Amino acid sequence: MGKGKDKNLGSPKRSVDSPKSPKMRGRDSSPSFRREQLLRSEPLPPINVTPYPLSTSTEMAMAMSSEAQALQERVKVLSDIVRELQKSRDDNIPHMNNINVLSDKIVNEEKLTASSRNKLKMMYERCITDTEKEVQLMKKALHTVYQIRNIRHDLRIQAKNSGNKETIRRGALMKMLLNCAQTLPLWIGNFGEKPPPLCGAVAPEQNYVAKVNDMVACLVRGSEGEDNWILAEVVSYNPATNKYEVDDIDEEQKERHTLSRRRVYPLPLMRANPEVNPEALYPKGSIVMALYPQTTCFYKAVINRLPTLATEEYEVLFEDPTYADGYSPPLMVAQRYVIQIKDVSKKK
Amino acid sequence: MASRESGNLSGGGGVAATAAAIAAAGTSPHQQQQQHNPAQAPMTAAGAGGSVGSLPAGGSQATVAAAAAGGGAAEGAGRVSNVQRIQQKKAQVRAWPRDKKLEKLAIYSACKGDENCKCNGWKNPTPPTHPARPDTPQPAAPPSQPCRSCSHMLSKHVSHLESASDDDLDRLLSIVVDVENLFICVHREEDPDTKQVYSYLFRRLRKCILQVTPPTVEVPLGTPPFERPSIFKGVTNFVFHKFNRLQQKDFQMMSDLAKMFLHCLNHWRLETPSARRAHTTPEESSAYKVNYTRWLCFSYVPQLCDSLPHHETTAIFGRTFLRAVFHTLRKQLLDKFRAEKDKMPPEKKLLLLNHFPRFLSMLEEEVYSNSSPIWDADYRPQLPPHLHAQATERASGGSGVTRGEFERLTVPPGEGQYTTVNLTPAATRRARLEESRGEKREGDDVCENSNNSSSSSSSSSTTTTSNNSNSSKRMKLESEDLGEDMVAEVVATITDPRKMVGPEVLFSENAARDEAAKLEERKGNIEFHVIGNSLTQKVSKQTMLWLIGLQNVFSHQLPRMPKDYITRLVFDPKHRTLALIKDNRPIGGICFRMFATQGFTEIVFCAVTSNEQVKGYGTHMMNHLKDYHVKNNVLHFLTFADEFAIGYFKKQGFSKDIQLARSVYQGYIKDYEGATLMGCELNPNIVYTEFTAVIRRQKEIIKKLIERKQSEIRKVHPGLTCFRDGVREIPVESIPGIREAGWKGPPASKPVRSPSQEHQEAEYLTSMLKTLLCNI
Repeated sequence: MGKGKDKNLGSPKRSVDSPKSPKMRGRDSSPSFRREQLLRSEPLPPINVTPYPLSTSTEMAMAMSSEAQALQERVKVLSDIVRELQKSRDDNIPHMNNINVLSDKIVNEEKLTASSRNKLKMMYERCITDTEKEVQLMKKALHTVYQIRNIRHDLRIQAKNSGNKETIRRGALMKMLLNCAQTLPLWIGNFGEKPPPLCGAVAPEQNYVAKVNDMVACLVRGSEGEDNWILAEVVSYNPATNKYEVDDIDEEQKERHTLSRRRVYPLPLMRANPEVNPEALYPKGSIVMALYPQTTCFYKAVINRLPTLATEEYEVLFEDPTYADGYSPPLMVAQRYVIQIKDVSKKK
Repeated sequence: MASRESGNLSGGGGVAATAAAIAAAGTSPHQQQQQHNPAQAPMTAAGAGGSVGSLPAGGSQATVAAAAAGGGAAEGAGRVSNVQRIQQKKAQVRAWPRDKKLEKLAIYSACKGDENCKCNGWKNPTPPTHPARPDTPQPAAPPSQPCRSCSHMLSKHVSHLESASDDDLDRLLSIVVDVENLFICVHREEDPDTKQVYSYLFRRLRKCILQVTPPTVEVPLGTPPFERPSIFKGVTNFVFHKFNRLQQKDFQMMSDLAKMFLHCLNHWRLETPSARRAHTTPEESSAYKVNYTRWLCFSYVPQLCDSLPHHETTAIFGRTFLRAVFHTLRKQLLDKFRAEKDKMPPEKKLLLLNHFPRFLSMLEEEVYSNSSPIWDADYRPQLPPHLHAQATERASGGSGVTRGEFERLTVPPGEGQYTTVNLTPAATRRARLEESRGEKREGDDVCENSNNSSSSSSSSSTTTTSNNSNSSKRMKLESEDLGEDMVAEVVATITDPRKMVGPEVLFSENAARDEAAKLEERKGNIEFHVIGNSLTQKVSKQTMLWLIGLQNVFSHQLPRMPKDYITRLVFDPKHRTLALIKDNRPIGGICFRMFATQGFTEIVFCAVTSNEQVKGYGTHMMNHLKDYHVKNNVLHFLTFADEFAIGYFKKQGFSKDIQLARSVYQGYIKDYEGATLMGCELNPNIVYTEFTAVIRRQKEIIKKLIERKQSEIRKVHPGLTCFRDGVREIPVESIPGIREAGWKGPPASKPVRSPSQEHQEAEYLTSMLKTLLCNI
């Protein structure tokens, strides 16, 4: 459910629909514009307490908890915000149309009188206020989505830490990983603000320490001495020894690893919006580590195509000697699961 | 044709004598062949004197038999049918005195005189000079008479039969008569394929007498039925499908024509494979030869040699067989009717010369159409109005209950008929809808209804007796003490989203392993096809591209298999591959080889491309493959699984305990070192792609029923404490409350039902059966 709403919020049509500035020679002089409807006609969709299935008994027990109730309330809140948002968007349409009409007139008359300038300025100011209101609502909605996401994350950790150790089926695990990536918070900065560390391709700060329960990529030594970048969750960090304790995300492995900081790389905490912050994406042709689809391992890959929207994924080519040209066919990987290549253990 | 006394088969003079005796008793069994009567063609032998030298049996007997046969023909008393003649002969033999019977059996029994004696049949040292007539039996040879070949006494040959009852002797003698008839057939037959089968059956029956075992035909041919649904079922469905809107009189006529058609087919003599070879592809003709052999062994020869188990042609063969013979059969039947038209009464003439050709053309269309519903194993006929009236009462009650039933896909089976088979139900359904629409344009209103009902899973349930799985399911429902309306109500509850606000909706993602894949298939994101290469037929470019794609998928996913090996097998015309197609590219597949005669299929490669794994595709692929095999009546899977594949195959119901005898598969299946042989037996009553959904639904129904019961009783008993006190077990019925909850104890007492209900039920079933039998 998070998916659907999220997609609507990051509506790509936005820029196209914005009011035109008088400086722009109006090729398209039709004064009215349409924006995508945010509302769904159906009633509120039901939401699961976890983005992946567990046994019914566990899920029922979890559904009884207060978190589950909080979850349902959040969904209601989200739905209300989206409704409100749509209403304010509807309200703003006539104002934006007015701006377009006036600016078209100015362009056509090729004359800017003082009164019309003042009028235009006032209209712009009003529209800016309106739009800021929209942005606030939008941020509120996104915030709610992240709250839902966090509650579900907490519930999962709770389930994991409770004595009831239940292995998630692989299919479910993959679904969860996909869902986590799709609902990864989108970074929305103010104008001119630079994306922070761990947003998209932006590297973490030198001394950054991943938090407990965050997902990380880490280099572990397999039974046959080979090194593998695997997806894992942080259990603890010991600042004295600079060592992490991590759990393999694949519960079938049932392994806990103690690894030095060098062997642990945090995953992005936010998505970068390619339309606004293309600088926070890996450029085409760069070499990265990417999670091979439907697995829990990272492999070396080349970026083949960048996402153009916040909801899209990278297209990468994995290094694979079994293919004639040395690369796999193009595969899609979410921003969350593409990380910088790290020089693997210079010293033992 | 010179006499060769040293024939390496035993039998000697005895066989010759008997063969001659049969011939002398009337016409030879082969004389009637000349009549070319398809309805009652007897055993064949086109003229005497084939190449005898190469045969295992001695030549002298053939000479005698052939001569005698000629004599019999001259007598020309060919009124009685061969079957009757053979029965007469058997009756005569049964009437013989016991010592005569033993003498006869001695001819076919191995000597037990001493351990080293290799003699496998007693030979009369003084063979009668003239062929004996059976009605004037020769006096029996004394038990002390020595054998011409091993010189042990006659009694030594039959020592094992001394204590046998007369019935047992008669049974063996009946086989002896069949053996002797077959012997003649072997010599008379010119067609090499047929001859081979006759001599196989001959040797088979001889062995049965030697070992005193009941005659059977062995596994290499497979066991009947060879295809499902049978021709009988298909043609019956055809009548309902096409003519159910006709008036009673016309419907009756069509049923009669269908009956006649089936009868003709049951008694029709098939074209020999060699006659056919001229106008078919090698692939087709090898498939035909298999069916021809089966037909001889299970259907044709047993009509005459009744010691072999007999099966009706129309009951054991299906669409593939009918497709192969239909054109020839039609031509011969129509030619025959035309030739005889002057002798027919006018109304029969109308029936045979006007209605029958039309009937055949319509049938032809359904036989060769790939989407015809009449071959659907779950086809439920829409009864015509006059039959319907008798069944309405019943049908109206049952129509709501079938919701959870299995849906079957139409898979046109058969060898060499195609290179691509579409398995995705969406497409099948579309094709059927189009078909029904097409029919509607022709002004066919009522039919559409039956069409739709056969294609959708929630079809109306007018009953049919010939549908096994369906009727057994129905029986089960009736034998339980739950009312159908109660079950229907529960089903309605669990499918109504408003009533199910509980966990099932909340956790809809808690789905079966293949649920996601099925959803994608319904949406059309993925498709399943069975494809294969062919050397004799044109293979479409699409199929070739897919095969190349599959070869790539297999080589990448199975790095330990040599690439050229994979290529060789994927493109081998005997191997086929179930392909999983997404965006018109194969992303997975199962390459298999079907050994129809052995009754199993070898799974050769099985893989899904790595970035599409863990989505339930593998499970869904295997389920499609299982359904495909149920359609083709091959019910065993075997595979050599490497260590990484064992887990997958276990999840798909495979086990290391192989249900097949080693002799069935050894030498057929490719053997891999370091791999584990695993097998899976299929149940033809299960539609595997619907299996999890059906089981889940059943579970939900049971759960609901338990809840209902609980809410009815509302009494809480304190738990049992006796186990805490050290009691190990107590009788179930002593648990407080268990009887009130409806527990009935072991099913020693039959399910309790009111006698009136039982009575009505039996009456209903009889009347239903009668109506159906009368009208088919």
